[in-house]
Parts: sequence; C-alpha cells; structure tokens
Amino acid sequence: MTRRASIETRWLVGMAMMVALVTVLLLPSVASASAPVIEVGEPFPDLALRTLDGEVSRVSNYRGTKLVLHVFASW
Amino acid sequence: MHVPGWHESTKELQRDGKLQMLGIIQEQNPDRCRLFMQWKQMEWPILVDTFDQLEVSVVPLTYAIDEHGIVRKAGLRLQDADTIEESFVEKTWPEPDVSPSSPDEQPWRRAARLATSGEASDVAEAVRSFNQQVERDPEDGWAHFRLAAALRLRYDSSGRQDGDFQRAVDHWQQALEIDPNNYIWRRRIQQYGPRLIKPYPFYDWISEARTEIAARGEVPFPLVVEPSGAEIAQPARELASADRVQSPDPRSRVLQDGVGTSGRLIDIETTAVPRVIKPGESLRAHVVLRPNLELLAHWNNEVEPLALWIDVPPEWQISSQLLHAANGETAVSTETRLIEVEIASPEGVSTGGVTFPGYALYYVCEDENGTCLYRRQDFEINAEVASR
Repeated sequence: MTRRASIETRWLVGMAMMVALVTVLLLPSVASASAPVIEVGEPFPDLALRTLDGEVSRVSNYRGTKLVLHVFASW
Repeated sequence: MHVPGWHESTKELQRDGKLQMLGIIQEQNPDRCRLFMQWKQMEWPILVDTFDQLEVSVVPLTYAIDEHGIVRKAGLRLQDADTIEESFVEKTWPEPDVSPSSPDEQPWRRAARLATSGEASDVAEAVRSFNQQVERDPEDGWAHFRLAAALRLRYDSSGRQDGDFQRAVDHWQQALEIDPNNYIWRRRIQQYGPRLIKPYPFYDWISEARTEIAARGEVPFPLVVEPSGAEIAQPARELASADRVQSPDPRSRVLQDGVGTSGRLIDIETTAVPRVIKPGESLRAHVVLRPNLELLAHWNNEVEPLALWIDVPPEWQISSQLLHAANGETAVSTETRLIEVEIASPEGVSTGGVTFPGYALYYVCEDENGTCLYRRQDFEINAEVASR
C-alpha cells in the first residue's frame, strides 16, 4: 500500500468512526429509550390500548389467528 | 383510500375466519374514526393510539402478523391485498422458542391510555405526566408531542384551562423542531393551521359520510368535537387577501364587556397556529368566544351577527379584517363561537414578537330574563417571527 493510499484509508476509517460516534450521540435526541420495535421476525409491540368502545385491549388478544394490522388515521 | 381497499379485498378471508383485520389509529379525535368506519361499513376492531405509543412517524403502515404474534411482513401496500392469501394466510411459520410476553407497563403509558377516554380527570393526569417528562428532558420530542395531545384533549374537555390550545400548538411545534421528519407531529399543526401549509383538507369527508349514512336509514355516530374551520378547509397556494374595509368601531365608542354588569359576559381566547413563524410564512388565528355560564350569559340572536375586527401591521396580509359569526337558530343560545382567520407575514419582516390587536362586537344578555346589551371586547393575537 502506498503512503498516500494508507493515509486515505486511515482518513476514511477515522471519518467512519466519527460518523458512528456522532450517530450514537445524536440518537437519544430523536428516539426515546423505550421506543417499541416493529421489525419483521420480532413480536409486534404488545401495548394495552383502548378500543373505540372504551375497553382495554392488546394486539396479543388476537394471537391464534393471522392478522393484518393497519396503523392509520381517518384524515 | 387504503383502509376500505384492504377491507374489500379481504372480505372473504375475514368471513371464513382465515384472517383478522385490526386497526390502530393515530388520531387526536378517535370518534371521527368511528364515524368513518360506520360510513365505510367496516367492523374491524380498532385500538386508539392518540399519544402514538407505537412511535410511528407516518401513516398508513400495514403489517402481517402470524398466529404467534410475530411480524412476518411490514410495509405492505394496497396491491399486496390481492396476493395476501398466498403470500401470508396460507403460509406457516415455526412457533417461536419463547412466547412473546407483554412488557411491564410504564405509568405514562397507563396515563396515556386512560386519557383517550376524554374524561377530564384522566386527561388532567396525562397532562401532569407528560409535563414531567418534558421537564425531565426538554429535548424529548415524543414528550412534547404527547403533552400537546393531552393539552388539546383537555381543551376539548370540561376541565379546559385558559391557554390549553395555544400550549398544545407550541408543544407540537417544539416536537417538530426536535425532529422535523415526524409526519404525525407535522399533521397536528396542519390540522389546525393555515391553508398554505395544508396538504389536503383533513375532515371534509364528514359531511358526505353523514349524508350517506342517513340515506341508509342509520343515525351517524355523534362527534365530541365538530370539525370546522381549519379542520375542513381546502389547502390554498396563496392567501386571498380581502379588500380593506372600515373598522366598525374605530374610536372605541361601544362600551366594553363588563361595564355595568357583575362581570365579563363573554370569554375570549385566541390561539395562533403555529405561534412561531418564519418571515414569509403564515399562521391561522383561532378566536373562540364563550358565554360566561356562571353569569348565565347568552347570545342574543334576534339582532345583527357578532362582528370581529383584527388589525395587522402594514405589509402583513390578512384573509379578512372584518369577520362575522352566524347567529344561533333560536332567539337566545349559549354555544361557543369560533372564528378563524389567516395572517401572512411579509418576506422582509424583522424577527421578534408580534401582536395583532382586535375586538369583537356582540349582542349578549345577562341572564335568562335580564338585560340584553351591545358590547365590545378587545383582544390580542400573539405570535413570533423567528429567523430562518
């Protein structure tokens, strides 16, 4: 590896570390620690919410059947 | 729309018990969703997430969840509904090693859930809870968003406190400054804000829905808060500024409300949405007038309608300087009256606080058999211009 390429590599590694550090430092300001995870392969967050009738229900109440879940608003 | 489309495409699967549809709604007023479902003749179970406990930043989002509660597909589009039977319903996945358990509930989540009922005491508890969160971490955008949602709920409840709506708007705006990419936060400002920032009318479908529901012989579900003004307004590309007109009481000769009575007969509250704008941007001012029920005050409707006058500095634009609110249909009434107006700042405006003075002229009666008076009340709309 030439000296110039080595400097560039080190510079790139340094930049990548800086970006990673800045990302880690910035993360808490845009996402709270308790943020539910919604990812394929993971359980859907099992929050207890009210129904339109005022009763308390959870997504887990629908286990045992296949579910298509929409997150939406009427606007 | 996405939701009725999914409903239509999966009707048979739902009927055969092969697939359950479930909705989680990100809505300040969940009863509007109930009316929407009635209109579209849908009977999905709905979970209400006014405080966005899921922490999603856009809608709609669609997930396929297997019988064990595991997310198998995310980001489904409407066209995926046609193939959902082969791609999901008929597929099997192994049972997870450990059954997903429900996490212990943090107190704020309970407060959020209770507050969606709209009960004054529950909403007050949510305001306290989210206030504490904002105080603990002023950079927590979710805390600002949730506090704003709680404040607007309190504004719509019997426990309303002066300034609740303005505080809600301010916290929604602070949330957006912390993370401008959250569309749900942005939508709350747009719901009540000026037409220039509206992507589409939010609740203009409601009158059509009611007409169709009534034509079917059903009674439309009632709404706790009737959408009006900004909530049903069409978007606009420029502020249509009306011709300048004369002030109806330029020398302030009409007696102020409160003179000769045991108190002020009408309460006026103003809210700027948003309160902080950049040069060239506009805001929507909400002026709410409520008869003082402790004094048994009521509107007199057998006279000319309530008039509202607002002054703006030179170079500023206003959609209409002189506005009116329609009289009630009965001789007297006690309804809350809301007048909205849009005000646009000039490009070169200097930054800092700005006040738009205004006044209302109205006929009001002291009590059921009391004197009817013609009164004036001065008010201010306060906003701020911040640098770009």
